[in-house]
Amino acid sequence: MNNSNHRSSDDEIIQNVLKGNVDAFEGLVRRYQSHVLNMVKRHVPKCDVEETAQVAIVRVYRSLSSYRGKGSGFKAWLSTVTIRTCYDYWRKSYRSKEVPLSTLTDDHKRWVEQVTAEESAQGLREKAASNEARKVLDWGLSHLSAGDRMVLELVYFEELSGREAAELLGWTTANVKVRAFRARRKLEKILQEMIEEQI
Amino acid sequence: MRQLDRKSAHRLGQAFRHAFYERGRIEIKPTEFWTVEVMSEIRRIGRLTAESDFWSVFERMIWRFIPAAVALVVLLGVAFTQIDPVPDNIVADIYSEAQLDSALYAFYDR
Repeated sequence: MNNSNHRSSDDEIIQNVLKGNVDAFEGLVRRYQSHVLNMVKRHVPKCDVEETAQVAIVRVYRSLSSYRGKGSGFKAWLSTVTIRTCYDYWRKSYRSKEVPLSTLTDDHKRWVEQVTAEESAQGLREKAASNEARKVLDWGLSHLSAGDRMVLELVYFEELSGREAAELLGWTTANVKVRAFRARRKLEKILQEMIEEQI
Repeated sequence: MRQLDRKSAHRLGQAFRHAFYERGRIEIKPTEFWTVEVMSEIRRIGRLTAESDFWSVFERMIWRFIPAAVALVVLLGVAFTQIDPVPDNIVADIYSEAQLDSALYAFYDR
């Protein structure tokens, strides 16, 4: 009940904006800005989160007339636009070769060695919480394409279903499953090569 | 250093998933400055006028019909190579009319 009130309220604001009341859009911005920022934060480097979230919101505004109010509502549509903006961020970064291919230090390589040898779940969690974990993950992801990166993050790290990831990326479910599998294989191969280099 | 076997890959995957989750847990609060900046960008774009709405709908419709248009062009192309553009009976008519004309001219020339 509460949810449907919320949704009709979104629709009212949208109708208002489409009638030419630009300021009414602020209501939607304030309502969903945290959602957009926290979504973007998971997929984009910290330094570019605010700018990418702004691009996503501007994109929502520009394509507001194409929102038909069907399906899961405005929030789901907003999430789709946000994820596609993150995907475009990486595509643009790869095209302009702005993705930093940082080299791993001995500490990072040692971290990989320790994780692969770790037997206890508690120990694994502690190691995963360290700075090295994020650094190695970012290093591995930077060797993947923008599409592989996004699908891997959505399917394996956020644990979304193939259908959910497909809706967010605008791909078919079969394509998401195939690409997610291939992307995971690629990441494993990259890490394997890094391990072999160490020997 | 050990090889990345199935078990090691699984452990690394778990560690990465946890690291990804940890990063997502840190809540980002939008500042007032950010909100104002976003809204000023929106105001700079201006109203979503009926004209821009019409063109966006028009553009979407055009792209929707592109595959059908391409298929039609290909079909017509094939049809033109297969079908004789001037049917035989028309050629025969023209030929017979030409013969009749020359026969008439011959009659008056006498």
